[in-house]
Amino acid sequence: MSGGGDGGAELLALAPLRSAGLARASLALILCGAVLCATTLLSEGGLERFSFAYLWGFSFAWAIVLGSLFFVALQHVTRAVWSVVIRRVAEALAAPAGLLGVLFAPVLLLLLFTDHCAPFPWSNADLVRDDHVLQGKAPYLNVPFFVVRALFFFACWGGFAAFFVRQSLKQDAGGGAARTARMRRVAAPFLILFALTVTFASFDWLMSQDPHWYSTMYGVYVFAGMALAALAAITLAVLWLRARGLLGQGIVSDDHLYSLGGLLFAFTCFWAYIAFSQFMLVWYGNLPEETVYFARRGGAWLAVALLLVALRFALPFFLLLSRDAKRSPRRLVVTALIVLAGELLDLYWLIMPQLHEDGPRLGWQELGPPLFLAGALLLHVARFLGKHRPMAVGDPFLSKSCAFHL
Amino acid sequence: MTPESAVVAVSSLEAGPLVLGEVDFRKLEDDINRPLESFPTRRWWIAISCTGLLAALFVYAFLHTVFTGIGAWGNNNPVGWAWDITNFVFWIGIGHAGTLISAILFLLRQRWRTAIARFAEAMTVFAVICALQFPLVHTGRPWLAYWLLPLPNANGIWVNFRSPLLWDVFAVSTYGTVSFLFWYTGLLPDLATVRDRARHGLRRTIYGILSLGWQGSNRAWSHYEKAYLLFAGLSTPLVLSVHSVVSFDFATSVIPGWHATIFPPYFVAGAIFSGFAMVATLIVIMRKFFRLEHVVTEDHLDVMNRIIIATSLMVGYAYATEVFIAWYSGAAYERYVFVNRAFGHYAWAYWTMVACNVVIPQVLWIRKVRRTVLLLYPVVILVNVGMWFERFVIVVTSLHRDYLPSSWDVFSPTWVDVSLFVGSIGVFLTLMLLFARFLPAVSLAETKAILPGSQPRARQGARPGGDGHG
Repeated sequence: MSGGGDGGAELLALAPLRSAGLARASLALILCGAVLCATTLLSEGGLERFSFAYLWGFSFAWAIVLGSLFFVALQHVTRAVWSVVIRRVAEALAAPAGLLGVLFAPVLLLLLFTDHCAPFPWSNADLVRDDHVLQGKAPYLNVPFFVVRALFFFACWGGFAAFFVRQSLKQDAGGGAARTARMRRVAAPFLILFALTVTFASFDWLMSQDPHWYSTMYGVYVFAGMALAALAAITLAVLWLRARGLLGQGIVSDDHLYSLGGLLFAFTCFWAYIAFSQFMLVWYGNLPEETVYFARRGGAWLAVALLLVALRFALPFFLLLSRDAKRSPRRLVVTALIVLAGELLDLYWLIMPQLHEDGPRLGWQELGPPLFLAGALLLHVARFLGKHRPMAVGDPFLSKSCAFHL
Repeated sequence: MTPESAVVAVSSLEAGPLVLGEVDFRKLEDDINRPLESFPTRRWWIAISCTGLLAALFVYAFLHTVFTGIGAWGNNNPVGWAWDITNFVFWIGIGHAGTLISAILFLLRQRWRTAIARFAEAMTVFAVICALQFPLVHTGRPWLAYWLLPLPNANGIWVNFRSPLLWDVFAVSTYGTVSFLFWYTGLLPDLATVRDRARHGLRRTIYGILSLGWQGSNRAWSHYEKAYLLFAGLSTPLVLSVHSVVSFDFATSVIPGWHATIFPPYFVAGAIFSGFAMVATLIVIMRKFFRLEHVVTEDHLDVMNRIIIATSLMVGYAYATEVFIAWYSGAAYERYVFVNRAFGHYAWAYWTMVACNVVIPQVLWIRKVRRTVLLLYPVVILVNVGMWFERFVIVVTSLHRDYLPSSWDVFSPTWVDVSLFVGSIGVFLTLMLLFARFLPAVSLAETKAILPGSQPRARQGARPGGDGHG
């Protein structure tokens, strides 16, 4: 990377994505996913498999969008300058936060209009009747309150994502400093709300699938995976847009990539730290009501658990350890893909053992919802990038960010 | 756009200069070295007399414990751990700001860290020294402390590698060693500066030996920078590991209130929280008496207070999660512990903790409070208090109500407990006062590097990858 990036002229010339390819590909994914979903639903016992797979796919989309929203807010709260050149890409990935609420509708509909939603045993009145532990939790784990909480979460995330994205887009036209000041003011309180909502959402949507089990670390664990997945998605998107020349010539430099790679590396370590601490303390305490969770995810699922250690920690750690690796686009793409696969596998490992106790299964029935949801997400991102500039050209710190040097 | 928002200038969003005023290298050198090169003021003598007395009290209480036995403390049957471990965790936590600043903030390229890094690193080293006294005296026979190490011996008896207490031995000794080496490596160029400025031969010799013959050659600097980066990389996992291992002391047990999976990150956040509060507590005094307000500026206080509020919120998050999950677990013992903490015999300690750690620090959202010494000072003092109470609440409330109601008891400290704790503050402050007298309290070499003009790359108009060397 050398030269280039000169002044305002080139930055203002940055144009939205002009490619129907991405939109076409996402439409194909949506169609494919929808057909698979419909076939699953019509098959014998299909509703149960569909509901688990849908939750799996949804959690993945949720992780990327919310993690990106976290990334955007973090840049404002830390007044980061280096990241200004890539912040719009993160905003594009955070923008579908409102869409997430719509995509969650199938889960809520299943809870509201069937006698129970398979992934959530506590929604089954017959089961709760014979279980005094679940009766004790009923004030929290009941359908109406669950629905209200979910709606609150989506209102929160949708609202704040819209705020950050809209302010940033309006800034393209002018009003730089004032808007930056406003975003910084909002970012800190938002992050508090973010921590609470993501924690309770992870309790609700993931932990309560095994309603007897509990872990105070769970919210942090889900957050660590979320941040990692979002960083990988942002890195991939930045490299893809840069390769197509949409981010200008040499504006996103090796040093920007190094910073992204460094964050990816840091969160890889953070995830490993959190995952190890949670597992080790449960293993060491050896209380049956706690170990049951990992017992179910070991045994027939042990291979998945070990693969998880490789994909989420060992491989990214060694791939990104050296300084040169963090600046190499090819190395970053490979690592980011591994990290995303790791997030998919992690969520699969958290969700699916409730359905397939006898070992991992991945049939076409499981693939419909993830394809559909990934398509929906991609379509939203493609449309966003097709409408708006790929860089926050109105940010008062853009030129400093262009000149960012280690 | 409203007219009001139009007046927001870009400059108001940027951080101010790191060193205030017209400061060149020479003046900075004079300012930082002045306390070392002048005779101590009367105030310093008064201060060190007070802290020295407290340190003497510590030594007395320590010896008293050794000659009398642990029975001199208030520990009783269910409460087998009390102030000893509370103080140990408290002091280990204090040290975390130093490592965070010198390692993590360095890797995060936070250049403001230079002004407070040295001071905080010194705090780390002294806090670890204080912390180590408590397990040492709790062994009852400190001269046999080497039994904690896995040494081959005639009876073939080994330490228990499965015990988190042994992991603590490894974690804390590694932490202490690396922190000391990091601190000392950073000191080398500055010690050489003190040597070069020395007028007296003896002084020149002593600082000359301490600076290991540093000449400031290009090659030495290049090695120094590499070593610094490596230390930063190696210390970063240590910031997380030490207090995580300390938290394992509690969390690996199955005692309600101790056995919580969130303990490791919760302890780390609390440690950084208390560490920054202590840095703020002491550096405010240092900058005033050494007239270094232009080096440790209001901006520095502002940023430190931001970190304090962020970690305060993390600690608050952990408190809230623990309470919620205790209810959610449906386990009668888990629920009882938290009800007992909030409304039982030690409720006053619990609410002191919540007030000092979560409620009161919220005033730091106000910019004026973050930047005004008189306003922020009570807050950081209370954080220190609150963090001590946090450890006390965790240790004692969980123990004093164990599974057998017949063995329930309460803990009250004896004068020995109190003397050991208050005395350890004396030891710590004495070491800090000596440090400020004999070593440069601000990293001179690093602060020079952030003065305008010393970073050619940062000049206006520099382009990425372009004429970066110019």
